[in-house]
Amino acid sequence: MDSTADPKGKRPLYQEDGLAYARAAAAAASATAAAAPDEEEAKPKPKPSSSSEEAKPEPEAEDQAEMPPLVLVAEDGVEVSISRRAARMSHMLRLLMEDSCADGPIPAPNVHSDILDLVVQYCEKHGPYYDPEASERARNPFPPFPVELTPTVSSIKPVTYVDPDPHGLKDWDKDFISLDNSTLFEVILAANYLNIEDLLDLGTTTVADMMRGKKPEEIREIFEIENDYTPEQEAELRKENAWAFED
Amino acid sequence: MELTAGSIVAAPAWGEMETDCLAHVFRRLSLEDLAEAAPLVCRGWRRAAADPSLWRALDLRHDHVARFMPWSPLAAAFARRYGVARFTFAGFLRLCLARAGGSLSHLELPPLLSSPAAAELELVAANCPKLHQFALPPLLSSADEARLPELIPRWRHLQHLELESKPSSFPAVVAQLGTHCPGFSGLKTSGSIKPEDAASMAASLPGLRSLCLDSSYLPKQELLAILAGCKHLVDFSARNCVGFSEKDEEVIGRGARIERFEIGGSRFVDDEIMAGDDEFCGSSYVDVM
Repeated sequence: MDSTADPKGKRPLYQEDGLAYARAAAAAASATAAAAPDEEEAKPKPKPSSSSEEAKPEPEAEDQAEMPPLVLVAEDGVEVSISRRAARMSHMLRLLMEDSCADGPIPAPNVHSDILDLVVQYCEKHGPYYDPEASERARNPFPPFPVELTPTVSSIKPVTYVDPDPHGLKDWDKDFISLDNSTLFEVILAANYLNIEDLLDLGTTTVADMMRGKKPEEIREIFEIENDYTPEQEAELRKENAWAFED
Repeated sequence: MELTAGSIVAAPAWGEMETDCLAHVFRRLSLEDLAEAAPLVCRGWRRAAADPSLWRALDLRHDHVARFMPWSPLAAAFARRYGVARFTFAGFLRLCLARAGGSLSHLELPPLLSSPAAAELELVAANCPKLHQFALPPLLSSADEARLPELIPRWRHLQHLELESKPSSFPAVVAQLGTHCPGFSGLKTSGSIKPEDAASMAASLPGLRSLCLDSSYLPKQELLAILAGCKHLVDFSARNCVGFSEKDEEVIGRGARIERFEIGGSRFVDDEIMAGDDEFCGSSYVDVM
């Protein structure tokens, strides 16, 4: 197999290095087809693709897959396993792995196993292409001036620039994140708990898109939020915003 | 709801989502949505919308004419929702600074400051002790330009400063940066670079990493003095300048050790000015002293 012998996390692109990954990818792909939920219908549990055996490595000498996958324990007690490479996407799991505390089961107490499955699916999909530094730069809204030459880092993109997406991840993400509101909510909380910035970005961007340009009344409707303002509190809010304009 | 029985809560409480998650969402909203829509949805969202982390990095330069004028949607929203009769940029800035609660780290101001801008400058000086990155529009009044060096010590953590048009107090500003801002690393300005400007940069900012003087009047002598003094530059840009040629061997040689050295479009004498092309800051370099 191709053992590039690079330290974990340093190479931006992982080679397809073996049977284990290929199997996991195939399983994840079939699970995506099964698990992309529609808005209305009651969904059966998404195929537990990552919670069964195929994420476990074959006994081959590979730099990543020779380490056994991590085991996450959801709030309902169900165990979900995630390959080490995918687990890198979670800052929390990365720290655990670095401190060698990741060998036993890792509790994810606020996350239901269905949600955990979705999260793991995301990580397995993105894991091979994950470059922590690129994510960090893309997140920084104020690159040091003069403006960087590489367009991906610039905060202002010319209209004609087309973002290259060689792995088709953007489309996959769009399908992945078209979830009903409650699932989306839980996915965001889970991504926050596990500190998976890319997934958190994806989820929160989706929510922001739903909110953009809408009036408060409309937002309340979309997200089923109760207006808990009393008239006194509304007056307070007004004052809170108006004081700065009084001379 | 959707998934197996006994699983997750039936109705997710978006209203009670943790502040830091909501802050992630709100971070992607425009100022208008953040100021007018989000806080009105419910009390939890109001708290999250006022979270200092959202107000820490303010780029107010973007689209400023559409946004901050009295006829803008933002002004209309403030009038409608909060009863603000007279929306001004200064007022809005005051609100943003208060929201940031002293943690403001990036601030870019549009050319909408009052003239004199003393009040706004004082606001920023008083409320932003942690400022890292600051961009100022051209300061219209000489009083403001004179005041600027005196304010620099209030921003001890300043790392990047952008002065859209070089003020006359530039040497003093640079001297203050050298004295009071130990982490200072990046400077950007544009204007007519005089010997005292170059000398002050070379003397006071020897550790400067990034310098941008695009579209300036930059005589070769001054350029070389800067490069000689600022020995730790990794990023230097002097594109479209007048005063030296991009093909000048000596300049290219001196710039060779700098990782990113951009001088494209720079020429010794500007021929285009004859064609009446004044979009290239004609006034700032013709106005020689």
